[in-house]
Amino acid sequence: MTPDLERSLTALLGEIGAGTDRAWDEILPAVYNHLKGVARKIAGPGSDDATITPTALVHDAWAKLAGSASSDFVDRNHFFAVAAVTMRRILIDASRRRKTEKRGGDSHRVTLADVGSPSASVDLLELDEALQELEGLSSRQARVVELRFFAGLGVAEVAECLGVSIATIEADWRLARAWLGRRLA
Amino acid sequence: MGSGSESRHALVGRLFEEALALPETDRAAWLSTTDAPVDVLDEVRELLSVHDREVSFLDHLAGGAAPARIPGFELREVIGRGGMGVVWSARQTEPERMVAVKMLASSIFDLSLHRFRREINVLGRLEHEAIARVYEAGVAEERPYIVMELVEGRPIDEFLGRDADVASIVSLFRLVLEGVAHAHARGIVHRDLKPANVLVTADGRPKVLDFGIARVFDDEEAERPTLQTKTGMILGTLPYMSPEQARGEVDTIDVRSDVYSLGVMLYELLEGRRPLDLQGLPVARAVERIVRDLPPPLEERGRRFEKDLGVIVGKALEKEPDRRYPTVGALDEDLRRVLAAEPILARPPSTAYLLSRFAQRHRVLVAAGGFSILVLVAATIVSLFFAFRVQSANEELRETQKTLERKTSEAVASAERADREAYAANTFVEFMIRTFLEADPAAGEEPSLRGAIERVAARVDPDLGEHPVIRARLHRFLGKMFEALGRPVQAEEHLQLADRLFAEHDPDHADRAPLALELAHGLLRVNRPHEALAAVQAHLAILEREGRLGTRAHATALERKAEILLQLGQFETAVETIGEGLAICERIGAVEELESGLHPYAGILLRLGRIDEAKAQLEKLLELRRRRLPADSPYIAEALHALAVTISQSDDVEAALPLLDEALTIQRATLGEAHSATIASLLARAQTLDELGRTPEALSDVEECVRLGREMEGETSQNYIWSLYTAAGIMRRAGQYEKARDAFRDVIRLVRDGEFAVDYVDAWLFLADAEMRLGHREAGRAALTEGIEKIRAVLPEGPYRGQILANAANVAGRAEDWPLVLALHDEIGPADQIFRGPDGAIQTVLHALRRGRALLEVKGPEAAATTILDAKKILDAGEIGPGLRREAIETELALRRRQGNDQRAAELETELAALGEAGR
Repeated sequence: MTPDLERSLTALLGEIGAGTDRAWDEILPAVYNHLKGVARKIAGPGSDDATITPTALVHDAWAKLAGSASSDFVDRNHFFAVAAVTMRRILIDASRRRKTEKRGGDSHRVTLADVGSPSASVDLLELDEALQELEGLSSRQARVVELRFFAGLGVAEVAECLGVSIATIEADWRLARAWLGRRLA
Repeated sequence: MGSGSESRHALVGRLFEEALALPETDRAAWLSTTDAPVDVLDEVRELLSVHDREVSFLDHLAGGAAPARIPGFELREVIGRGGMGVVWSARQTEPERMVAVKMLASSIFDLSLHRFRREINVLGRLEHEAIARVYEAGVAEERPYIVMELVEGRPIDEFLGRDADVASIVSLFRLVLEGVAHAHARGIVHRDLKPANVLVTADGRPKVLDFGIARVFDDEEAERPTLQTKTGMILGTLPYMSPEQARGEVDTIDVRSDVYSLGVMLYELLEGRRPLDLQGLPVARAVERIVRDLPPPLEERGRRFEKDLGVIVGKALEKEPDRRYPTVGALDEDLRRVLAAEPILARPPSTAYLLSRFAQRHRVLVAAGGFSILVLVAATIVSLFFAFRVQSANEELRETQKTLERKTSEAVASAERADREAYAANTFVEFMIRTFLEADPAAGEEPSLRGAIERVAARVDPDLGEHPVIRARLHRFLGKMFEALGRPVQAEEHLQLADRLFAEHDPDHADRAPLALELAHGLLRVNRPHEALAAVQAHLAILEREGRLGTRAHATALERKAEILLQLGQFETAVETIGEGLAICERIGAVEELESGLHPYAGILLRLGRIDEAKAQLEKLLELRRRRLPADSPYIAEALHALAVTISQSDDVEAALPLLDEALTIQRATLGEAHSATIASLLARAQTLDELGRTPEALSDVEECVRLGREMEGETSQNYIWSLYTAAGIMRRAGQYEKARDAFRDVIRLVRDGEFAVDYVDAWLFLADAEMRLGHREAGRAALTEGIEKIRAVLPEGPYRGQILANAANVAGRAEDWPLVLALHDEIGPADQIFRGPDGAIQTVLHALRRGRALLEVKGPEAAATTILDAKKILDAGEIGPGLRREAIETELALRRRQGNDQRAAELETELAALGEAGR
């Protein structure tokens, strides 16, 4: 995200907090693009599940964000934190729905699969469980994963978001990454 | 999870971090020196091994692999990711500056180090303000990296946003082109140009990133990427790939591939969307689109320059490299001209080219929808605009001479016409493309040509009201399309409309000659042979006036005329006519016309009872087509059908079945069920099955035909009537007289109002027969009388009329109207000239027997005796079926009783009793 966009996002999110409707209209294109990038990574080409398209995902997240009663976001960090949780919820819900529909259906698992690494895919529900477990061990590490995954933030952004140093986030990330990798292997 | 496990996790984390700080080889030893519990140490070891794994799904989703340590650089943050690797921002210590470090995801063992360094040396020499510099490269922890200029900027599409005006888009884009041209001049092709690789700095200067990097990171083996293994890499780049790249033709990639990618970018910048929507397509389908589909033209929103820009972008996006701008400089020059409001150098593609592109594009539909007829149809469209298909050199020469001989005034007029033609062609093409684009396969629904054609049909008149001649041409086109789609009723309507429009607005239009012929064919197909004959005569008159006798066009016209004559029952003239046509084909070597003439020729031979000759012609036709066409061509099916029908008239009925099955397989796959040709084959199959005594199967086939025929075009369609007629015949033979009667009544009702054609002439006779078998003698007689009138009115003298009259006499015999039988037999003439073919002899004898029966009733036993007894003697000697045997015995019995020869009568009665129910 470029500095310009960040600045204006923070300002706009402030306006949303202040209850200005106009702000939503203006923030839409900016954040939308950002979230879409994230969505594309999660549900884009390579994902096994054609029912979750990046666009649908973003729309869903957006509706939930815009509709949430607690739209008094402190700032953009807060906003992204909420966005990350929302995206996670939506993905997990969709995944669970699919599983119920396809009864007995390990035959159709919703997976996260990034382009270029067909082998590097993971069952979303398993990831969710693992994240919950990690949360019990270190809630900050779980947050870091969530923000990097579902809100697509960079290390520096996550550090700012959580109010800790970049080095800490990097260490958290290294451990969480290895821990999840081991847990889901 | 208690508080204890949290501290355990913290311990794991600390040990993990500390171990990571050590060289990989020292970690295990160090870990064993700590006093941590064994299970903690085990977990740390496992975490370390996971960490060291090159790629984790988490890296792909989040930030990239943990930074490798590169001496002299302090890696900061992931600023980009691609299929090839991860890009970090980094601080270089010597010289001190911020740089971008691109790390290859895979190990150095995967690519040639030598080549890697060589390529980087070349790239390092690229110096242009619109190109991001490559500073150096190296290998760290077995992973190659490239150090590049760090560009602070936004991708060009983002920078320009939605509302940039055309001039600023083009101006900025030209700066990009400068950079690309600089690299091209040094022999470096980018191969991965896309907005993400063109950043624009805050002060508005574009920088092209990653010049030539795609090639560096492509190891030699991977130069031919398979779609499976390289999916990820391709996906990010696919929308900007040239067709040759998308096909993986690495050898042919050159600067023109970059021209294409730049075309995609420019289109996207101007239009806000990419030329081809590949969203959600599987890679193979996406590649197919890139290779085949034409992008929709730039929308004209009244912004300045857009018409020219459309042409420019179109030229950059040509599928064939040779048709694109040969260099980026040439593209740049045209863009400069646009900005300077000078005429651009690129020309819009020609009509011919656009139409051939259309044909190619719709081949995709063909593959997708099983509509191989489309190819044929598309070819028709192309030829439509060139009035006649390319003719033999000879003929062209003659045409040219004629043109030269024309007076000056005519030449001037024709120049004016050419102008108008060009205008008309453009309007036509624009209209067609606009309408067909709505049938874009990407639009979601299953594409169907029929849908597209019907859209065109609905919009021609409202949309093109002010262009009557273009409308005329479009109606002609629609007529041919509907014909190809097996919709003769709609086809004829449009051809008529076209003819009327031409007659009113441009009576001398060049399209009129071929149209007359098409109209003739169309009229024939909707059962109006007299009008068809008039149309074909009109066409022949035009050809004669223009001095084009002896040409392909003339041959085709003669073939058409023969078909019509055949339908009108004028067989002898038809044979002469088709002979003349085929002779022309042979003389000028017109293979296709020869082929198309063999079919009606065989039909005529068949009607003349020359079955073996007909069969030979059709076998020749089938062989010619099999040699020239793909195995599933509908034309092969057509030949198979014709051959089967002919064979089924010989004594080898069973041999027809496999031919019909083969024809049906082809037709169902290529034309679909609801096509007149498919229905015709199905009907022929029903008839064959019926003749083989497999009546239930025949009935089910024929009922399907009736249903399809009625659905397709309503009750008046030829398909429907012919299906109904055939069905009625089979019902009659199956003994379902009531059903048969109703069906024949329907047939008569439907053909009575239209022009009468010979094909249905015996419908009245069958109706009469059915009525009588149902015991309705009066209704039977009425139908018979009307039928005989029709026969006399429409059928010319000759064997065919004789055979039909013989049938009428049989029906009259059933009604015991002996004077009528006798009169009909006298009208038929000498039997041996009428009954030919394999069962001609038996027919002749049977005819004599029945004539004798009538003589007996009308003139008494003395007049009839010789005739009956001679016939009976021949029949007794031959092998005949029980039905015929019974008829022969009954006839002699009637004679003997009238003669008072009771002894012979008793013998005959015994014979009859011995026959039992057989043949009844």
